[in-house]
Amino acid sequence: MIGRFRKRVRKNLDQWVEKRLPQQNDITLNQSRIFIVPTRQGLVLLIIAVLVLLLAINFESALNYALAFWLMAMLWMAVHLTYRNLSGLTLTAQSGTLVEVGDVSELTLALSSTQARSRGVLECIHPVWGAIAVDLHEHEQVVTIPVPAEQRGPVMPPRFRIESRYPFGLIVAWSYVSINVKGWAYPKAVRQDRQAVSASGDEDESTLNDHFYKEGSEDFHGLRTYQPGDPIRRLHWPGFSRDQLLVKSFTDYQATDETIDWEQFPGLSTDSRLAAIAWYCQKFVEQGRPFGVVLPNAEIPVGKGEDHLMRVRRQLAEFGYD
Amino acid sequence: MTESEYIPPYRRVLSQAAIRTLLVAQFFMFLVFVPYMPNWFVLVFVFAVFWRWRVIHGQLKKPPVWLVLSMIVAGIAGIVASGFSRYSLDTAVAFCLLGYLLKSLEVLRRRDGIFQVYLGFFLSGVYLLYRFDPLGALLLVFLVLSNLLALQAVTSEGHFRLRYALKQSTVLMIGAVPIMVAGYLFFPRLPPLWNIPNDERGAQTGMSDEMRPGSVAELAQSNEPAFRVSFNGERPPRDQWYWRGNTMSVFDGETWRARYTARNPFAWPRNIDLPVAEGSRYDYTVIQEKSGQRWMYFLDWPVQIDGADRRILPDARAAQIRPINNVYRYQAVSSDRVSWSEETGAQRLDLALPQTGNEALRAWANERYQEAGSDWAFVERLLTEIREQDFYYTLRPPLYRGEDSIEAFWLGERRGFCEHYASAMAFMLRAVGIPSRIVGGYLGGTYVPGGDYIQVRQREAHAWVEVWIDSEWHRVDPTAVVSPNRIEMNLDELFMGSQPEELSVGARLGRATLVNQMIMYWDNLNYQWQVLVLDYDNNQAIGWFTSAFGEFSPLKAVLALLSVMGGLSLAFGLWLGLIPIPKVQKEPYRSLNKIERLYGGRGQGETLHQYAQRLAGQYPHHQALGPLLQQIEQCIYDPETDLDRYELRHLWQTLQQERKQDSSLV
Repeated sequence: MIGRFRKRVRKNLDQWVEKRLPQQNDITLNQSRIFIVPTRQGLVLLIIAVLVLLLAINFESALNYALAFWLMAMLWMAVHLTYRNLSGLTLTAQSGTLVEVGDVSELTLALSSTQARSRGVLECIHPVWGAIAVDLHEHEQVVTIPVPAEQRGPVMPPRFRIESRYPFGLIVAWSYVSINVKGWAYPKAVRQDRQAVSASGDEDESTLNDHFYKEGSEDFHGLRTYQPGDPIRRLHWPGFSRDQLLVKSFTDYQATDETIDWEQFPGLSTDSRLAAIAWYCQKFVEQGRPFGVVLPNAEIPVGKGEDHLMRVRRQLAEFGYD
Repeated sequence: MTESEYIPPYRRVLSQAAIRTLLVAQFFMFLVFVPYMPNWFVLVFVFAVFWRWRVIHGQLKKPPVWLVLSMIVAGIAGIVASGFSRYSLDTAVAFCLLGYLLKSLEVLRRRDGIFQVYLGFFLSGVYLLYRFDPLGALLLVFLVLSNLLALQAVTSEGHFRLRYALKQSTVLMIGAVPIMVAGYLFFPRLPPLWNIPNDERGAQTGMSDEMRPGSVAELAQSNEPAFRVSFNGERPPRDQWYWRGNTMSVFDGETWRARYTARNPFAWPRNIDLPVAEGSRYDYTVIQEKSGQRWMYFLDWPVQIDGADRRILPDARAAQIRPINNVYRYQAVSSDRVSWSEETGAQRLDLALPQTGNEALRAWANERYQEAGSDWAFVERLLTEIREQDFYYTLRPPLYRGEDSIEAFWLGERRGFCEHYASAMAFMLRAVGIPSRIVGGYLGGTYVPGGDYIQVRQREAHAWVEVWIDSEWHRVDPTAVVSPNRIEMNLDELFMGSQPEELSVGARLGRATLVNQMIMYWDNLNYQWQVLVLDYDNNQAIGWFTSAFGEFSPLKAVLALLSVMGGLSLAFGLWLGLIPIPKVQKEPYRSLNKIERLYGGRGQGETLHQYAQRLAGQYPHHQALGPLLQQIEQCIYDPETDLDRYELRHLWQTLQQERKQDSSLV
């Protein structure tokens, strides 16, 4: 009964917070966003103050009256100091890393403010990553939040709590921050068989792609013995006349299968296709072969190397989230 | 960045800086208590420091249980063995301090550190029970500061910076002062809830309610202040500065005792009539240092004394039910001549003497009484005896002991201090049937012009005789005869001239002019402190409150406190930069902004001139607009031109009128 009631209160509270503190690209903390209450430690200080007051009453000690009220007033004064740590602080979304699904994406926020002031240690708290402490001492700081990527697409930090107990731990001021900073997760590579597709309807061509010939003829590599399945066009006719079955061979990277096409994986779901593309991209890079990618909404020209791979992966991650 | 689990703040491990700062705070805390605690506490402290040192150098472990237990047992045994076995404040403080020191053995986590600091705050309060002079208050401020620094180190998540911490702590302390003052002024002073006897703090000083031979001379060696008196109006002449403390009328052959003792304050009679003033009245305020006793001091003879828990006793004393463990202030009225109410039966008791002892002296007295013929003549005869025989006034008389001690003084050595003369005289008066008693108190004092008060130190301790003749008590001071200057001079002045070696070093040093002046300044400071701070009576504050807001009520008090706090919060908000102050724009930009607000902003790339032309086209009726914009333009682009505020205001007024007409037309 009480548990259910608590759950309902919790839910209402969450909704209220959601409405009051919407997601934004940059957030400046002010009086409408900061919550502030004494900590348990602060309340214990009150108890100590009352004990001192008892000393004052019982031993008729005038100065202890002063000390008791001094301690109480310190708690009140600490409210201002702690509030000051958060007030005017601006959180700005900066960047997020690109990771594979299942890995941890690092999202970067900048903490800055117009007034230069020492704000002590702030903590960004969420069950997912625990607590991240940021020491804001007279300059701006960048905080990196690790968020595990659970599925392909954008990785966003959940609404987290930024809190300050500085300088004495007597008061805790906090705000819930939902900030629009994004990392991306590309799909985990899964192997699927590629099926040939013919480009641009040149049905009579038996090769996968005919523009290879036009371009690749420049980079003639050498001759090799014929293997069954080699296209007849590549036969080396002068060699044939000497009874040698040779084919003109071109360098590997000029292989015809350099483009990984969305259409090469028919009958699969979107995510499986993307996973398959990711697998081939990875393979190509491992083998040092250049490749391009064709997606329904984008075409990435042929390239090679890590940068290229990252670009492709980014595309895969963003696919469907534009 | 590694994924970290959330550790609640209280369970976090302390940083080295925190442990070190805690240690320093603890050191200061311990240091101030050293004079009141047994010496072996130093060993406990050294052990605690050693343990902390181990912790700092990597031994992040709790001490084994056997060690803690054995330390606790040894500590308790030590406290009991040091004589703190009674239930008293000192015992409680000793245990508290032991706990404070031993707790540091296991301070590893924040919770422990906070506990340690809070205990430090509490102990600072306890320290105020021992010391409440201005120096003690300064020390308190220092202790609070060091504990706050430690608190900041403990809660700083390993980023402790001394400068920052100092700044924050100071801001916290200063910012809290107004509320502290308000609380101090308005919080009602409540009576004690329960009673804890205390030894050290309640150590008795000043006149006690019994007088052994030598006890007054002992007191006269002390430089401590006893009380301070400020007169509202005229001061009595210097030779009348007899400050009455105790009246002792029970004699057992060696010691004089008061009839109403401190042991049973509930047996004291109530509602006694005091003597009625007949001579000049003196109205004064006494601020008495803590004495641990119940007796209060006043000028001879008291006719009126204020205070609810104060009792007037039949032997012309005033006492408080509770011991005076603090600085107390009270008002009293005295007169140099009084008429005594008939105290039936009391005078008979003031004749009692032990059955035996001092037989020769009794005989000697009776013989002289026969010769003298009357009571007054006999008193005169005794004084003449002192004057004419080689009686000698000294702070260091030989020790007269036993049954015949008075005889040994009067008929033998004849060297004595005031108590000996008073005691001998009272004895002889009683021996011949004249009621008499001893009064213990102080004679003289130092007038401090800076604070307009008379300071009386313990070394002004004195004893004299009162004698009942013609239904009246008369003061007879044999010291006035043996050493006439004593009446006019303080003891140190008197002895400085003749027997300086009898004075304490402090008293001799105090005679140097510069030192004396400084002592007087310090004493004045103490006096002001006592008047303004320690003996502050919050009736006065409630008086202000009542005069400003009418009848005092809790609701009003809370409202007042809240409004004070609100006002202060606003002030602190501005001070700390929490509330930004809106910037007032300067002319002519303010006027330009206003025009843009009223008529719509300028387009992109539109100059002021173009803007003016456009508006002139749009609003032909607003004649003032053109000149206004022209003036603004001139002022912005021509630095030579000064802004004509009068003209600007005039143009604005015209424009407002035109706008009004415009809107009324529509």
